[in-house]
Amino acid sequence: MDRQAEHSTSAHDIISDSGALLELSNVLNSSTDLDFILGNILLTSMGKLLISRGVVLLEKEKQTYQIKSVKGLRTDHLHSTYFLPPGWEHAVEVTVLENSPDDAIRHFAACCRSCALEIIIPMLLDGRLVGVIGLGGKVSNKPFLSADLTFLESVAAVAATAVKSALKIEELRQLNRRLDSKVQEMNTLFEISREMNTTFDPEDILRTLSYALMGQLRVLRYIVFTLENGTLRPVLTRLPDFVPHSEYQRALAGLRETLVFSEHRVPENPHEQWLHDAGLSTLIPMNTQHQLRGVLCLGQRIGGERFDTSELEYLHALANITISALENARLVKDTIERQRLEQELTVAKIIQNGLLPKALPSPSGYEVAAVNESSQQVGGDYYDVIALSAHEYVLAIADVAGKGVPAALLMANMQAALRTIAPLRLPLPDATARMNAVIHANTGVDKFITFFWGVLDTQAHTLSYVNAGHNPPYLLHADGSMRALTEGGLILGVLDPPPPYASETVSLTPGDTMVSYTDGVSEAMSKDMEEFGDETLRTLLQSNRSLSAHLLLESVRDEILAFTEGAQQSDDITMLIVRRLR
Amino acid sequence: MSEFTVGARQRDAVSVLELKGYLDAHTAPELERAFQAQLDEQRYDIVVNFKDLSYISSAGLGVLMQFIEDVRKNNGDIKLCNMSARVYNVFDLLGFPMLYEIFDEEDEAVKKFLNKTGNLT
Repeated sequence: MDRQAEHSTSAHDIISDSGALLELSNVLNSSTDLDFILGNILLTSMGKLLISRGVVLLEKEKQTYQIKSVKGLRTDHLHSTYFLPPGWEHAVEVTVLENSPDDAIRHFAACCRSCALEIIIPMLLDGRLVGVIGLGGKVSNKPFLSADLTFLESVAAVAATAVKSALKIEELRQLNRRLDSKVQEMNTLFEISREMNTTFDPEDILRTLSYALMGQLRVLRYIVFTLENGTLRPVLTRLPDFVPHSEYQRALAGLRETLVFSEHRVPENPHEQWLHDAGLSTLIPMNTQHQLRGVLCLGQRIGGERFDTSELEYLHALANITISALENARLVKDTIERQRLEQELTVAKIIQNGLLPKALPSPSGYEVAAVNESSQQVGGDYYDVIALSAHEYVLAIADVAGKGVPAALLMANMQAALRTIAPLRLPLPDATARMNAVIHANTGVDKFITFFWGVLDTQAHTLSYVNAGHNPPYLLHADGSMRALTEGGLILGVLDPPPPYASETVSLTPGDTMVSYTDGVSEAMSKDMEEFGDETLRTLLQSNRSLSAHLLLESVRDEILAFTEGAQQSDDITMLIVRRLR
Repeated sequence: MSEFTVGARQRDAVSVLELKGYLDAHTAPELERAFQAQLDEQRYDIVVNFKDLSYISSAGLGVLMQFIEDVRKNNGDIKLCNMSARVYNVFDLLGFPMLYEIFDEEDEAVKKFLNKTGNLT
């Protein structure tokens, strides 16, 4: 356009232009709001020159320009970005651009034409093209004058400066916001750590995780798997229609790093496909000491955006904090549980020790020896010797089913029954039936007692006994023969009334020894999990039959100690031995 | 420190939950119970008034997320109002304004619900 050819620019117009520019400059410099600034640039230009449409594009990245503000036109025919080469200096009509040798410019011009834009004004800052203003023709259909173009170029210059400041401020604002977001993330992480470290309840820990996933990350679908006895099990599920399926095991167990399904990383096997189909797209390993202890599986977040790198790192931290808290909770629970068990066993031991006789009577012409060694778990072994008269003594040995406090309590019950019934001097089978009735009334079907008892008469030198399902005691004769005392009937506590008990009376000659014991003796375990065995016991008793009751007891105990080599025993070791001296 | 209470009242068919104090992971279960109580009564038009809430952490937003699906499935909504700048900032940073309608005043939020039912009949 030949500006020299125009003479119509009056002094009045110049003053008016200057006024409008000054006003625009003041307005723009008073704002840092980019939308407001761009809108004002367009409205000022359109108002001053009576134009009905305009658009502003700003540089998005090197030489790529993006539409930022639009007035009076629809953007249907415009692309969101355009590539524009450098080298623009003045306002130029679209007609001129349409004839440019540059493909990119011709493409841009064609789009402008389709929106009825007629003139394009470059926004220059230190000679660099930071944006362009596009305007339609005048409503009057009159051509643009040289003064109009000068005015628009001035507007563009004012605009460029204001835009630059606004962009700087916008950049700062965004930085600030990113910083705010980081602070927010950190706050959440701190809060979660604090919350998780003050509870040992896995439910509380998982709830805190839930809040963070939903509140901080806007994820509404997730599953947390944790490793229990080598298997990953879901412990927290928020996924409708989730059906646990063994397929996930294989996909998750080998997870070494975060896996995000996308068009770049599609499921590679049926196991992954199954997780993907269940709506889970982000799988995050939960590690303690580099060991996989669980997996955090997330569905799409509300709004649909992918997690960016920093969010994935954040999720990683969240996953690891959670699994550490869960592991700690488990350790604490185990410790408490172990302490509770130890306390219970201590109580059981106290009860048991209180029930065993403190001192044994010494029947004349006889020797009595007994031992009870409680195992770690405290079995329910019991023995007793009760003097009925100067020459009659009740001998009893029993093994209560179960261990710990329940067994100790049942033993207390049995001891009370024994001490009550024995002095009644009923025939032994009847007395045994009474014992059975008491135990039966006080226990469930799963609780019972194996029980052997007898009455030793030190004048008649006889032993009358009933064996209610107990390991048969051995009667060792001085001549080397031995026999088991098996006469009796059913164990105590199972059936009431029981089938009648039988009893037997055996004679004791000098040197005869009766050895009663519980299965902790015959079933003592070696380190190689071999049993001591009945046969070994019998052989041992027979070869040591001439020893005193105490020495025989010691020899059996020594033999068992040598056999077990200190291996922990699961049952009590109890023996009651009576020997006729003369 | 962790003092937090929820008050519930009715404005016609609309339930208003008034939050007061400090809402974080520790106090969030309280809000969870308040929401559950509304759902148990099949009240799905819920306005949450933040006027007296001094602090919210992401856990508080987690509770809102936890119930939003259920509420909307039942043709209801959770609308928010009277947020302080500090509280709003947390919602904004976490991208919640696109998920929830946030009003300056409780009246506007309630009116929005009442208009909805008006349109239905």
